[in-house]
Amino acid sequence: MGFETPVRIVGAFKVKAGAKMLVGIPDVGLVGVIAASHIVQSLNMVEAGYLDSDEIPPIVVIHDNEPKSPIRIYNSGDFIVLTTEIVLPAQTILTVSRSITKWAKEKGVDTIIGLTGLATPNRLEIEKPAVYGVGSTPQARELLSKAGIKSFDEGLLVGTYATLLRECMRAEQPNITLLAEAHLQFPDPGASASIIETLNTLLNLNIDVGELLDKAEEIRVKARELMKKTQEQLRSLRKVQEQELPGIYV
Amino acid sequence: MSQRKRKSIFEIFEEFIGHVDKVFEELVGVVPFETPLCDVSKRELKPLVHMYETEDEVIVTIDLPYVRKEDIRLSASENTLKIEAPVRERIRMSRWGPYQKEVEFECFRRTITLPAIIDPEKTRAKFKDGILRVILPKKIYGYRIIVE
Repeated sequence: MGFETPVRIVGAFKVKAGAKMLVGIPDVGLVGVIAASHIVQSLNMVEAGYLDSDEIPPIVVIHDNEPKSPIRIYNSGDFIVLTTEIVLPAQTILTVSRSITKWAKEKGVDTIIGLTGLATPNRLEIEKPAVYGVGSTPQARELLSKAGIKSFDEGLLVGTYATLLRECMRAEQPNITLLAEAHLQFPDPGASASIIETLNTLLNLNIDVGELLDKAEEIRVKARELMKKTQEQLRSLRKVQEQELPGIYV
Repeated sequence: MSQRKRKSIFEIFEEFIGHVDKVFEELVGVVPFETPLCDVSKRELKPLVHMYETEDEVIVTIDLPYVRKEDIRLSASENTLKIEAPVRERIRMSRWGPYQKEVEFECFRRTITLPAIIDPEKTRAKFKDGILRVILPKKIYGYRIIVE
């Protein structure tokens, strides 16, 4: 079953009332992708569907002799994870974000939670990256505040997570975007660990990040090609705007 | 005063390819011939690199997981930076497509073409958490002009 949009979400699973949807796609430091992968493994989530479109790159992932869509959806009841190892072409970001939002709204997803990085020039000097939160609704902001998550008060968001947040605002679908201080250009498992610890607090989870940190070097080696492609996309989206001096905002 | 070392034909060719890539990147925003970040036959990985310049310096950061500080070999000429770093244990990648069942890598190697002429003797570097940061001061040419 799918939608009549250029992007279809395929999968006949039932979304549990109150379920949260976590989104981990390539962006700063691959923070979301690394975090999503660790969450899927830790919660033993099952693959329940995929996102399909004529506009996404012509790639099929083969795992255990089974072809899979590169943009997959996992489900565990209380949580849904959407993740991918491909870089979305810039021209598809809006339609993908709109489709995810529309699907979540129709299925009754409680909140979409975007997991990403915040490019931090002095990341090398930071032992434990801080995590900031942006909420699309007063309720989402209150949730962040109650969990003691630092608010992202001023600045710009650029890219897929920004579009997803904007589409959620338009559709009145609650959205929380979590941003961990991260290397802009290198895979950053440390930042992913910080974001998972924040999720533990926010959603009352107990996901251990020890294994993730133990495997940090291995992840950095294996994620290099994806990081390289992500670097090119971030450059084309002018991600650097996030670090520019603020303009006048009234 | 340091002696300038004669470049090998391979170094000259590598520099030339670097220049061609840079020109294409500036013109159309992409590198013309995308190559993977590894050379399976040589068991080498190409490290991820981030480079930017200020008025006075070129700053290069290089991602080097599995590398020890004492094993890094770094050299600079006026317009290139060369990095070689063996990994402390072989990096094994398994199940890599139908042909490459398993492959091992032994070192990182990359020659980077710099965007400005730098002073190699004043270059400094720091290694922390598997990331190498190299600061290359630019060579200053010209005279100060007094403004009246």
